[in-house]
Amino acid sequence: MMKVNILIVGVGGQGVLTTSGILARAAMEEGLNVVSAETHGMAQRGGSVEVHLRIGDVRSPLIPYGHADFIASLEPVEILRYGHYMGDNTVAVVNTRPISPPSVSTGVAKYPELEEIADRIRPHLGELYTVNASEIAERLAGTIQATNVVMAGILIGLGIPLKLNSVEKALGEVLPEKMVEANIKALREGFQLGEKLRK
Amino acid sequence: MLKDVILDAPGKKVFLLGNEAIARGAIEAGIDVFSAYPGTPSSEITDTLNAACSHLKDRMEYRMEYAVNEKVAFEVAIGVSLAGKRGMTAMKHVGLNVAADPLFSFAYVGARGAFVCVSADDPSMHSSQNEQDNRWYGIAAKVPVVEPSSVNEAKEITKNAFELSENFSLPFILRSYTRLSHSSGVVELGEIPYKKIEKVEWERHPETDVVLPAHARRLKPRLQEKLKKLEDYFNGWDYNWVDEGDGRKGLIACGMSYNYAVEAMENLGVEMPVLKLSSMNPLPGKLITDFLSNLDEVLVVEEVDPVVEMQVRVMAAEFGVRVHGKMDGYLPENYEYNVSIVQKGIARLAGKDFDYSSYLTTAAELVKIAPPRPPVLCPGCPHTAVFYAIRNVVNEIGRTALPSDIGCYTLGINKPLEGVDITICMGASAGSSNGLSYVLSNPVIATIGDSTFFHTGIPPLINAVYNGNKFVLVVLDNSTTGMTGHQPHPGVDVRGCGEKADSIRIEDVCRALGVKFVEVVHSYNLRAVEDSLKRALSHDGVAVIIAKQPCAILWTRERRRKGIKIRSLEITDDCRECMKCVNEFTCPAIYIQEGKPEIDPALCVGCGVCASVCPHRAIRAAR
Ligand code: SF4
Ligand code: SF4
Repeated sequence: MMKVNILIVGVGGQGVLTTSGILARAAMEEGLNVVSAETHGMAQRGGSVEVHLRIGDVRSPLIPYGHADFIASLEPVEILRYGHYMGDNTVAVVNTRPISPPSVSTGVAKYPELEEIADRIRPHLGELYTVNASEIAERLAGTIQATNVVMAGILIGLGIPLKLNSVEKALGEVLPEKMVEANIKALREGFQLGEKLRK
Repeated sequence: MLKDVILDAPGKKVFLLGNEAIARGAIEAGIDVFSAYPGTPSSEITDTLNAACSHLKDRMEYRMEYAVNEKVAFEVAIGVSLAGKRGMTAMKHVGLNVAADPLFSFAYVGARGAFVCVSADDPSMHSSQNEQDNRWYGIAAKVPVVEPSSVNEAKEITKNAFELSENFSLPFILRSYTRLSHSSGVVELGEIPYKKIEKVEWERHPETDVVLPAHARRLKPRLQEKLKKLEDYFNGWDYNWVDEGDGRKGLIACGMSYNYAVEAMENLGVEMPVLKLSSMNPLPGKLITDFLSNLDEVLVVEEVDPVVEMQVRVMAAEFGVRVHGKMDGYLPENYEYNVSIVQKGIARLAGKDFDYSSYLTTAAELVKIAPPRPPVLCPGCPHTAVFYAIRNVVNEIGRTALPSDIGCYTLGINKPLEGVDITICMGASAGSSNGLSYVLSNPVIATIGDSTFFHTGIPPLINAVYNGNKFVLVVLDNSTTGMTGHQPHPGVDVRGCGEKADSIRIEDVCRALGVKFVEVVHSYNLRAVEDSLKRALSHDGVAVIIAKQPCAILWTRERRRKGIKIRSLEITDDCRECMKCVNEFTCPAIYIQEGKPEIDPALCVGCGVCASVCPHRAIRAAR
């Protein structure tokens, strides 16, 4: 009985929902069961966004505490909000490009150093990788908007049970035509990076 | 996705959002008219039926409309049902409070054509002002309530509710909630019927349809009979069932909680018998008592209030079965459930160990160093400009009461704007201002959105004019219903299904109501807003200011579509780092780099308001 729990988090506007939608479609394409839960409404206004994506023999749309197999954080501090899903087997990837919240610019709060974030979460996880996915997105797709697709590629490279070509097919169905080609490039680069990290 | 919702491929499996599945269920049921006012987490039902209607036009016709509020939407669907056609409405849980009046009476009348009201509850209050459990409404109003346990079942039960409503002549409430409405799952498509909108001849039935006291007295026992029959039916309904298991301890699991319970049992390695329930009112009495008769102990798993637990306690007394749940602390009373929470309760029942508190401790530890990221008003949001102007005026005149309302602009509560003192429910800004004006020595400046103005803002304004109350009502008119995803309302020139509409001007409405002071200002023009506010404050009576400028998201989308280049602003070397733009105004596009403010060109929409805020003229259009 296969069961894979993927948590994707980030900031409203980063394409967190799109990422899970693409992976979910790919899973269906491969004949797998899939359930997801997403944040709507308030959280879209520049707030934190989380999506739970569960593939295989699962029922509840929410991942049980401590049971995320993979966490992809599209923004560095966002992963700090999801400690309750981390466990000894969790593999986490964190994009290193920060998006500073207004609480930081107005001096109410401080944005922690990337190293501090990594040091704090590492003991609660199986594996942790930090990558500049936004830089890859800008280089290959010409836009930081493709960060989410790079992160999706990394997840496949790291071993979520989906094939690259079914994700490519899903990309083609979900994204506007003129964006597909560049995004597939970004996806593949992410995939290779993910495979490299895994070794 | 929309293309899956309208896909004509019976038997095919697609991946749908819960709300899309409900919309698809209505389509498969051959709905005739749908009417709703948006509210999270119900909005995508409406948006999906809105987007689907033009695609299905030649195949499966239905009318779809955005109503001015939930009561109206509910009554629209009543009209449709009484004419013998299939009507539906959807609202967030608190929306049913607005529609509660017709709900109670319509139960007596009963449905003729199908009537389905989706109530989307919000356990944990992800985007709501309270955590109300609308199953109580079903009990109080004597209306059946059904609750799906999965996205696929959401589609099936929606379709089934249309049939049951007609077969039993009862209005139905379909209870969804955030975790069902906003989760996605695999749905097996059924058939989309071929149908046109066919008008029918009116047949009068005053003996049932007119609830004058003599009729109502006769209708009440008939309603109770219908519910009794429905209860018998629910004892054998496809969506209530028993999973066999071991031992004399069992579970009664309602709606989505069924999935949490099954997964939790797998994790614990126990196999207790489970009664899965999807009919919340009336409860299937026989099914439940048969189930209880084989048990010594039972745990009731349901979200929000112990609605089923209380009733099961009564039934169980007869069998000497011990009932656990919220009322004895086996499960928490507040907030939504998940596998872990349910697992803890089941573990206790099964005499096993399970504790998740270490995960929560870790989480609390980690989140400490994360800067908060609450939702904020968007870059270029016209509400920010108006709240900034209000703040300036209030700083000048001193203590002022600032009631507001439900919408994006509730976020005006945040520092440094602090433009919101009270938020209760739709329309209550103007309502509470009437009361405040009687008893306060300070001025009152209330804010309300354009959609909310039409929803329930007009009656309290009438009240103010009639009773001679004095306050300022600022209508934050961004030409849309922003918070719930940009649905139209009577103030804009488009209707459901994309048809052209005659829009209604808020200023005309206010004048017609007898408001003597009505001014329309441009939201981005800080001086104009401030001047207007000062005039309004010195007006003796209720004064309305309509601050107009389209929602920044729509404005940007519109300019993109027209191929207009969006010119962001930049901060020049004239900046003296006084930080007024950051500390007093706060646009999310302005950030600080090495102690100096900068504008992120990717976020800036070029509204130019920050330029008029800067005292040193250091902000100007980027080259
Ligand atoms: S308000 Fe003007 S001078 Fe002051 S920090 Fe902002 S840009 Fe610089
Ligand atoms: S012009 Fe100024 S206030 Fe408007 S969006 Fe850009 S940075 Fe924000």
